[in-house]
Amino acid sequence: MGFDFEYALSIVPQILKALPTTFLVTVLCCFCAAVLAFAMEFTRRSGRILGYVMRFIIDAIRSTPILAQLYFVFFVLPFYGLTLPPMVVGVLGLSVYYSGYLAEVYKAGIDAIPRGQWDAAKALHLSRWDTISVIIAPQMLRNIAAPMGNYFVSILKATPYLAVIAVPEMLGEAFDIASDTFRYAEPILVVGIIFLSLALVIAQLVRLLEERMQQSLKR
Amino acid sequence: MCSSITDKTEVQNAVTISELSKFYGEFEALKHIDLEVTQGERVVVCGPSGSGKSTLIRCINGLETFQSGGLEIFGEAAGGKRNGKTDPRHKTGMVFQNFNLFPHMTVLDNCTLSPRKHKRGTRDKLDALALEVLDKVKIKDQADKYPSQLSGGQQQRVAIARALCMEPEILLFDEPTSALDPEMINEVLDVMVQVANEGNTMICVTHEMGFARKVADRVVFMDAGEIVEIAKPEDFFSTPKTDRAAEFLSQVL
Amino acid sequence: MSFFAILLGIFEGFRVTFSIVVVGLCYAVPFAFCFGILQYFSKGPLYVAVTAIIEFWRSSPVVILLFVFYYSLPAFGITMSAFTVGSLVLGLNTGGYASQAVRAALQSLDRGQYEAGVALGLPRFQILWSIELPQAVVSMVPTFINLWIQLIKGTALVSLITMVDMTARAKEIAQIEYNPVGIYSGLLLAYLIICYPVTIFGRWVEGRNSQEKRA
Ligand SMILES: Nc1ncnc2c1ncn2[C@@H]1O[C@H](COP(=O)(O)OP(=O)(O)OP(=O)(O)O)[C@@H](O)[C@H]1O
Ligand SMILES: [Mg+2]
Repeated sequence: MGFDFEYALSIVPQILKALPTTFLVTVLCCFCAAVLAFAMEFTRRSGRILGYVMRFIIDAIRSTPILAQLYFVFFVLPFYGLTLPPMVVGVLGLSVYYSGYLAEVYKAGIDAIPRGQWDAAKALHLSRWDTISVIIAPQMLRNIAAPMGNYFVSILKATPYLAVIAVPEMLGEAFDIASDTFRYAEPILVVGIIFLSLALVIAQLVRLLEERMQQSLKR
Repeated sequence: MCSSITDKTEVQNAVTISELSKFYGEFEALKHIDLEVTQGERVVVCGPSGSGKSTLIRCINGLETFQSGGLEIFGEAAGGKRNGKTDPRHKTGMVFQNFNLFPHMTVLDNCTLSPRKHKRGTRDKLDALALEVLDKVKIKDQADKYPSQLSGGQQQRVAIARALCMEPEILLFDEPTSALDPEMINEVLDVMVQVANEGNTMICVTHEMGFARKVADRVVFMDAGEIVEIAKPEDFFSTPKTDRAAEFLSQVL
Repeated sequence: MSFFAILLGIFEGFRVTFSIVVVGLCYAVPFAFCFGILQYFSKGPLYVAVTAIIEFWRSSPVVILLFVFYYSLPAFGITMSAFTVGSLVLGLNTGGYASQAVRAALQSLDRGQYEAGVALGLPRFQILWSIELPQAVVSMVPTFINLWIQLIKGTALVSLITMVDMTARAKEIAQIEYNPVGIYSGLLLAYLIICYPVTIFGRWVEGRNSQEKRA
């Protein structure tokens, strides 16, 4: 069975129809992971028992495959009577997984802030929340624009995992087409090409944005 | 607000430190420190490097915890259980050796941040107040700049303004001129003298002996985690009572 | 089945997981050094070609690469076993990332090191081999450890191309008995047992490196 280029071209529109889902999932995951990681990182820094627990949780998240985590969320939640739409499960799973990594990124960004900033905040008698939100977070974000952008691209590239839990993103769509026609080669390669171009383009965009940001921050 | 309870004729203690000890692990950085600073008094703390000056001043405003002994601010015990009352250490303001201004905020925002967060008034009122203070430290025209656009001396004056904007009852300085280029030291010292002359309670770690002579009511000399000598500046500089102080003075003067 | 029995059942797939990691590393490490060094040295068309190859391996989502190699390449007459596809794709994907660590480490070396080599009259290759690489490797180690963990975790994907690794074992067990909590927490635990020590080791190395930098 050779490769049928005409057929490959003909299914492009059908696969692209799933593109909005891919984007939606990506954006939701980026947002949720960024917020979750923020909470996790500052819990880890709280230093009490909760801090140690969070340290373990972050390391555990980073020590298990995303596929296993997705299966866990997808099959275990219904067991406890919590049946969520695959999309929600997918976003939840990916967000948790990447929050482990973003927490590390935040950590590096915070560690790079001079200790004197914390001292000054304390000397001004700011509350812990004010210190974090007004003093630390803005400076942290400035430090981590680049790695953060890279992880956002990673999240985009991780969306095909969701095909295994029946989220109708592009890879899932390709498999649907494949199982209708019994031809796998074409749909899969089409998705591959779309993803590679997407990843490259978005990585460039992120890099441009980053440079813009660095320039505007350079005072 | 709490000072009204005491007898007006008697000068009140702003800071009372008794038997305070501070450990870093095994190392005793402060050894049974006793020190009283009355309201309106200006105290200069000096001593060789590593003697515990920074540690002492940081204990006073709560940047460091201590293991034993007591610390009272205007008669109220600091630390411990607070029962909903604000920590008395909120009456302190601090100026650091390295300024520690917030680089992502303008000079004005640096100054108004704390009062804003403590709901001391409307934004307009606080801005106006901050501009007044910035005027006092002669840097009002830089209010909309960012710290990195200023020279070291200007930054330190902003840091002083930031501390003043909290309207603290006790001002703490930790070597405010040590990180400055020599030509900028005087502009900061001038501002500090001015602040001192306004009757603020000040505890100031510094090696600027000229400043100590000019404004200090007392000089506290520390060495190896202990207060070795407390004296009036004129006595301390002319006739130090201890050998350690004499040796120290021979090095800095 | 008891939780322990489930865990044992899952570990029946360990041999596959382990072999993919080992063979994958045999692809990843040489690729990383060859292409990282090539990218560091090359200019013009060669640089573009090298960069394109690296970008292909690291910018494509690894799941998709796996499927493309497994399902699409046969249509072009290239057929590989699932094991070859798994180890090759996972290995070179990891290698793509690692090559960037190699290049970055070489680039961040003090230029004086190179100049000192030239001053000693060493040939370029000798400078690379005995002066630049030994220093660069030290700063690569933390990244390499992280990528190693990525590779181990990535092997879970070979379960999607018919290989019976630990993840596939878990799914097989799930066919026989309905115990999602036991089976999938067992699966997570199985990977945790393998990867957690490496994660901790990585933290230790990183901490030591940054301490040395400070000292
Ligand atoms: N975070 C810390 N951990 C351990 N030891 C510390 C710490 N901070 C200070 N020390 C030690 O406590 C002692 C007192 O330090 P401190 O900073 O108070 O000295 P100092 O009098 O302010 O010196 P300098 O004039 O150099 O500022 C020093 O021996 C120092 O090494
Ligand atoms: Mg000091």
